[in-house]
Amino acid sequence: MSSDFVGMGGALTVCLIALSIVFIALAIMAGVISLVGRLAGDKNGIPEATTSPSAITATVQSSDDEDQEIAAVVMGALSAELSRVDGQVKLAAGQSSSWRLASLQEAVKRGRLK
Amino acid sequence: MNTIIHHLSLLVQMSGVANLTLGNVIMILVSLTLVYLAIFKGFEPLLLLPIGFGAFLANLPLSNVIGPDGLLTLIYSVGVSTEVLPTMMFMVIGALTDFGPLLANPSTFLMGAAAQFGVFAALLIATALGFNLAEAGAIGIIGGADGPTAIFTASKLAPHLLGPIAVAAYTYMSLVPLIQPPIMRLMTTKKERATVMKQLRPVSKRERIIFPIAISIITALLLPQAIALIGTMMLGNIIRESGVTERLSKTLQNEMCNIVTILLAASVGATMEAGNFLSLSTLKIVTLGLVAFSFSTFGGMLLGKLFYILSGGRVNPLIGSAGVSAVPMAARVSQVEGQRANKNNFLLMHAMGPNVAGVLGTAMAAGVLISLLK
Repeated sequence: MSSDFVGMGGALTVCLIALSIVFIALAIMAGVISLVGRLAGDKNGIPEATTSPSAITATVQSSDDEDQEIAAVVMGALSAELSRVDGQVKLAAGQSSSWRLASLQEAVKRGRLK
Repeated sequence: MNTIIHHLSLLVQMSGVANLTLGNVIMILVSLTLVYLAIFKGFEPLLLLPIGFGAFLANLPLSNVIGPDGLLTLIYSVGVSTEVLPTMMFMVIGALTDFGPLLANPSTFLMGAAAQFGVFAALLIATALGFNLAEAGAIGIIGGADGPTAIFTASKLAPHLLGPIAVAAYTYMSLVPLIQPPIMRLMTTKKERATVMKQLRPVSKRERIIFPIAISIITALLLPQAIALIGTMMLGNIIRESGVTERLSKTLQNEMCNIVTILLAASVGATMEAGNFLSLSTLKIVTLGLVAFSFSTFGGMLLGKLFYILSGGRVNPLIGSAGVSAVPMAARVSQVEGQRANKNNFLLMHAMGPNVAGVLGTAMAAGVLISLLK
């Protein structure tokens, strides 16, 4: 088949044919995989076996609100545990009211805040 | 006395000193530069070190690691000319690759296609520079940034150019963090680079198992010439994802990967003999490799920009450049550039989609070029 393509004109034809085929093939793959994702994705799928550290990082960093909530819960848990030692609960000052609320809720859940 | 002098002169004639040529000296310096870059600069050491040392051994005067009975020539004849080692390397790549990010966002398949733009740009320029079409196709594949595919294609279309093509491909792959960022910054605004993308959905095991089967069927139906590369890659991938062949998966990812890498890289390095390598063609190939890489980055970024516009600013265009298949380096470059614009930007997993799509795209492009030009 190579004899059909000669010189710059042949090169241009090869490029156009090849680039079109690559795009079409990958577009079909994208379509089929999307379909498979819809049919076999969320309904009966077995969850991910492993999650990469970068994915975890991305999850944690994906939303500031989530960050705040997680930090608040951790703080609440820490406060509750610390209260076992010195009998006092110390919640960080300077945070927003919702942050303090989430923190307090966690502490209450752990039964150390009275 | 005459007999002694005769034999001494014969010994001198048979020594390395008497047979050392300027070409040998230059190639020894070139090969040691590759070894230096691998060891001290960390440029793709797993590949450039055996390639460099293979070239070094091949250029020692009267070296018998090459030639009809030479070990490296034999490995090349059995492993590379027959396509066994490059296709085995694809099996290894399949076992090493997590296609999850691509499955979670299948539209990024198209970025893998767009980033093949450099392959075809380099093909056109190579033709204009006087290479025949088969040679131009083999050179263009450097732009796919996939070493095994470049070797596979060159061994089919232009075996005499295999050495410089392999060296150019692997050298530029290691230089992706230097080549891509200026093009990425040139083509985007800071606002675009700072775009934070939505977290990818989790991918089920069922999807991961259907994927290699579906891709193999589609490839066989559309482009059977690419099934040697993509089919073996999918074999490696299903071994990885099935969850019931952990031993095989580990063997592919470790022992097999290492064995194939050593044999492939050292035997390809041995093709860089002074007589083959020291020519104007090599210089052109090295230059065209850079052109191919740059155009591939440009093509990927262009589609990334289009995605950014069509999605209403929800897709970060930087992930487009990861469509060149240097895995995972190109994805890391997207991550670094994204984070430079916005500290809370985590693009790595998003960029892995186009990145692994690029591997498929390059294999597809190779299949098309081989079927059209061989």
